[in-house]
Amino acid sequence: MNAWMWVGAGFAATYGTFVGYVLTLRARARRAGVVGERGGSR
Amino acid sequence: MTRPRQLRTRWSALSAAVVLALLVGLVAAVTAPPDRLQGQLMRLMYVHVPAAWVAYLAFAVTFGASVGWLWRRDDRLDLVAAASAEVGVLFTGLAIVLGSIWAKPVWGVWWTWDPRLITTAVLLFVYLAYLGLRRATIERDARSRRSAIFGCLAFVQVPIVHLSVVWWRALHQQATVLRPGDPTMDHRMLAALLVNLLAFSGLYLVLLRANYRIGYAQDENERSAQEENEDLAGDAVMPVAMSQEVP
Repeated sequence: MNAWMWVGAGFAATYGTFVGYVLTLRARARRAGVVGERGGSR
Repeated sequence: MTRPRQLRTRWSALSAAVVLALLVGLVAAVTAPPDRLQGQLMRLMYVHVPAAWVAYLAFAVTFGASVGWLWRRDDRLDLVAAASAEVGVLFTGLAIVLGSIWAKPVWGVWWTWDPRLITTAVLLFVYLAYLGLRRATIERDARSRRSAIFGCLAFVQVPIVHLSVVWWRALHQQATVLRPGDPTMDHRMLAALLVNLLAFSGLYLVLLRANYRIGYAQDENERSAQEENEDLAGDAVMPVAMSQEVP
């Protein structure tokens, strides 16, 4: 494995984690009623 | 409760700025000059170091909010502490994974029993325990009090992690930026690191706020469910009480 592949793996892990966590938060927000209701946000 | 439009616009602008800063950070990390010894692998430091920095920041906020709760007993501070701890755990885990991806080609191993690595792993488990404690305690006041005390005590671990490379000289390198004197880095590398530090810190703020809002909504739901239960229990008890009053 060359150096750029390790770098790519690290960057993919980083930005993949961010996207995954944001999607998780969105799902949790919807369940808690924070988003998805017009004018119902806190 | 409807938030003022201006505040919502400000948070949307911050979220957009964070996405832009992350993109700029990625470009800076890819285009910065390679390191003389590590070559291209140095680029992993542009995400590993900011992730560790945000973990410190998040746990510092948990500490501050925990102290604040013990002082003022404000439920919002308890929610901030919990939201920040969760984001801190995410970034600590990420810092460990990124360190591991860097260590395999540079040190030849995924993991080694280095003091910095051990103390960081302990830090992760301590804050996982903090989150576990919150889930395990159902009664709200007891949960807030126990979490606040735990949140204050757990923060002791952060300076231990940071100073572990000074106290026990082992494999992990010493601090390059957060050290007495000027940073020992090329200015282009330092710029790439600082852009990513800024972007990750902005992302932390956005995630903290989102997590806080979810916690707030869950808290409200919990409160109203509790009130409903109390009302139902009251209705069930009332006829009996009334029947006793009738002669």
